[in-house]
Amino acid sequence: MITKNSFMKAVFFAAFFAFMLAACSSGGEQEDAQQEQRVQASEEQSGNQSVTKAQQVFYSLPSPFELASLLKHSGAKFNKDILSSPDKLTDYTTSASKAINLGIYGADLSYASIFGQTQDAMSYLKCVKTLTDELGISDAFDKTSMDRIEANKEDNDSISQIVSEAYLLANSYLKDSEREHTSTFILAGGLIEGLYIATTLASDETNNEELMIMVADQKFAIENLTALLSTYEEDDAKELLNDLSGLKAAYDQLEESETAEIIVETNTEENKTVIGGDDLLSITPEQFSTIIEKVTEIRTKYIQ
Amino acid sequence: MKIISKVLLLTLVTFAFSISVFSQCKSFTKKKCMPQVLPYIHNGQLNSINIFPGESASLTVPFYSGQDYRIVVCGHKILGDVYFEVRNSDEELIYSSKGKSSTWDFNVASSQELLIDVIAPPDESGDSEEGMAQSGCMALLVAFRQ
Repeated sequence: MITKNSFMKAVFFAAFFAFMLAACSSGGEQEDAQQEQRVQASEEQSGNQSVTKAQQVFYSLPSPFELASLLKHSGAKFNKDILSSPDKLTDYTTSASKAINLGIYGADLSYASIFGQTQDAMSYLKCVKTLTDELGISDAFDKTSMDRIEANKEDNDSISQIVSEAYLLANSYLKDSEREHTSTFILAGGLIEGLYIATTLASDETNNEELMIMVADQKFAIENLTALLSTYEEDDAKELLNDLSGLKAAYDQLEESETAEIIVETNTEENKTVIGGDDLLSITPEQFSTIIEKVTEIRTKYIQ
Repeated sequence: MKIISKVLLLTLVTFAFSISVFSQCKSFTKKKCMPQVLPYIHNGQLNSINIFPGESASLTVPFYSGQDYRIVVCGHKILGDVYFEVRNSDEELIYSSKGKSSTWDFNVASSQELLIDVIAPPDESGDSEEGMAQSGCMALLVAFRQ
């Protein structure tokens, strides 16, 4: 017979063990803990209501499709020769190299898709599908998604939606399975490839100022990526962070205008707001060359 | 032996419950929030948390010139009317969705990083004082348009 006292002990130990389990593995907690930076809670008055401020801070990075869209807006052209070779797919054997190259192929897929290069896009889709399967996130590109892509392969908007949904599923699955750093590697690969494409195209097309500005604007993304990576304890995350340190240092040299005024205008008829103002960042040709060098160095290491 | 069995059973139940809560939050985000993103393209990152009334979370997001964006906030009904505030790098308030729509569409004319605070208003009903405060899922999604 179990007494009330022993039952209470059981409850206490159960709660303790559950707490320890959650603290050690915590799918959801670690999901946030690794992506967040705990900041000191402070009380802030918001109107008449008291709100405990910012328990968690998340960092966001541009998606491969967003970067590809920026490339197109910057007047870039499609150049298949600068993309990563699908033939290298079988060379990636570690979890980190698979995740980073999944991001790289995802960026190439987005670039080819947005520029209407359906055949190349399908080739990169196969690489993405293979790597998601090998990383154990096959649900991201299941048969239904692949069928939808096949049926809509000429429709760039549909492909963007389906691939973005797949990224969301992969991101969610990796967080659930306590592989949040793998999710960040995918984003890192996408950002590195996006930057590589932009810097290479900007070098080929002399004086492409818009592309140079787009490259400079990635300072915010690089800062967020390094902030995210610095929260992980895994050795491969530390290695990637170390590899990115030279690139971040190059970006730190860019001058940020302190006088740039943010102008917010709302067109009430169209219910649309424009956040404007002067460009916040400026980049010199020397700084741009250093960024090209650092991006190429990192990309070369990870696609080999 | 019976005590150990009970400890293990209760541990598993408690642990499974905590995992279930987080999974439910993701499921809630996908079912209730994602449809509001369309026709914009979601950035593929899931920013959802379980939060108590009166708490907030922040998201640091780079936005790029020439792009159209949509921000969507949604929360479980237990949290009341969740809203977001957008601030620039000097922490000046640019926009607040308090009392407005849960989505905000805007265009960025010069690239910049913005800080988005997502806020669950304090529970003023007093219900939580009678028992334990209840947490709910809150999500913030960022999407762009080509």
